[in-house]
Amino acid sequence: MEAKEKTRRNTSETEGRIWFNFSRRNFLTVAGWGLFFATIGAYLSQILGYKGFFYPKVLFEPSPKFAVGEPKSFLENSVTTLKSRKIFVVRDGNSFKAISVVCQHLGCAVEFSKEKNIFECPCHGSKYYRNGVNFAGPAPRPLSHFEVVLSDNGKLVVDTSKIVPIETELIV
Amino acid sequence: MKLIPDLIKKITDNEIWRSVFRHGYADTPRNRVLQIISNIWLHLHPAKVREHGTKIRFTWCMGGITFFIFLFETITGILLMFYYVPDVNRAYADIVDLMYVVPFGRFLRNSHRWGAHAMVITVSIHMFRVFLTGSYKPPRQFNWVVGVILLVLTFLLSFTGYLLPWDQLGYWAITVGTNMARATPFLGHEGPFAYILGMRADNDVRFALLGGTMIEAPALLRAYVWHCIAIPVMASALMMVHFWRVRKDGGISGPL
Repeated sequence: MEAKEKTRRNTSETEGRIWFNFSRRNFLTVAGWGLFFATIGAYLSQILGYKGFFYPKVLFEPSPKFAVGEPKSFLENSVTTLKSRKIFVVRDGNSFKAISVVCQHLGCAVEFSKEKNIFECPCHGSKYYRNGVNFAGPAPRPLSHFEVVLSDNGKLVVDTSKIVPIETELIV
Repeated sequence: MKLIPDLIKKITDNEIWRSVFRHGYADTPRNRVLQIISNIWLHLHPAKVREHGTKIRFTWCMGGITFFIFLFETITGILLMFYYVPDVNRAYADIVDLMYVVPFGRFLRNSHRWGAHAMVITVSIHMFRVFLTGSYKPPRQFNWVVGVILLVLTFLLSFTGYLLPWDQLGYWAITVGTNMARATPFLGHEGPFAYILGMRADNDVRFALLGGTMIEAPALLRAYVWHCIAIPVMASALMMVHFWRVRKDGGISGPL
């Protein structure tokens, strides 16, 4: 405690001085080190910083937003599995939904059973209704629903980066 | 308010700092020596340098600058490896991506290339200085030989790096370079005395460099591995010997 107070007193005594005093004698030393650390800092920020070298501008990955076809190409009251896109396109009358195939338990791909009209997970037996709501097995929550929009050229476009509430549907 | 001196005191005046840097800044001849010899990065250096060794007009600092460029090339090279794949279908496209897409990539690639040119120049000037000051004379003959090998490794680094962009410039440079290897005495199949060792196009020194008889995928992969791993490791090992021998042979040689 005493030492702390002493430091504080010393600080207040020197308050009148300039922020950092160096003589002309060591100006070049200070300037050199300053330049050195400024350069290092500039390099590090460009390499490790936000939108720097390690922040790729272009990803060689499939786009999360993709067209799945015209509305009429899906049968009325049907569930279409798009395996490579990992989604189901569910059509009920004029309503369209895009539901993820990824089970909410441990990430297996669920399958649609036409006879029972439910989604079933082959791994641990989770079951989901046709609207994606879980009702049996270990699944803790409903399947993810993705945003579906109608593009200008009349195609359904799914964006798997945007998860929407399960009541959401696109009426065409 | 003496902010910086207080800050320095706060950082250095504790047990953690003292456990890492065991000798303080006390400016005594003994402590200066201890600072050098107890630090792994500095212990290759002589603990004391004679006054002429610090004279830029005597050393030109070309060896030190060459070492600095080598470190710079290592860092920029490692960074370039994050975006470059040595595959004949991808290599050129990866270089174009580095130039036009990757943030800071163009600067890193260009500075790596300029650094490579600069290193060949500085290492040559270093050798020229060592020759002019007679620093190859006893007891420094061995270190001259190590230096010559390092010079060759520098050239090989430049040569193998040339092919990596997989562009016309590199392709034809390697064509010319390996055609010279084709004419090596004894070891090249078009060179003199090739028949003694039974050299053919598919077993001579050019074949070893390219991993084939043409500049194809194995040549690119070989250039990549030599350039990024094998030669830098060899050069690093020899550099340690080189710096250590400067110390053991009596420091930087004095004026004649």
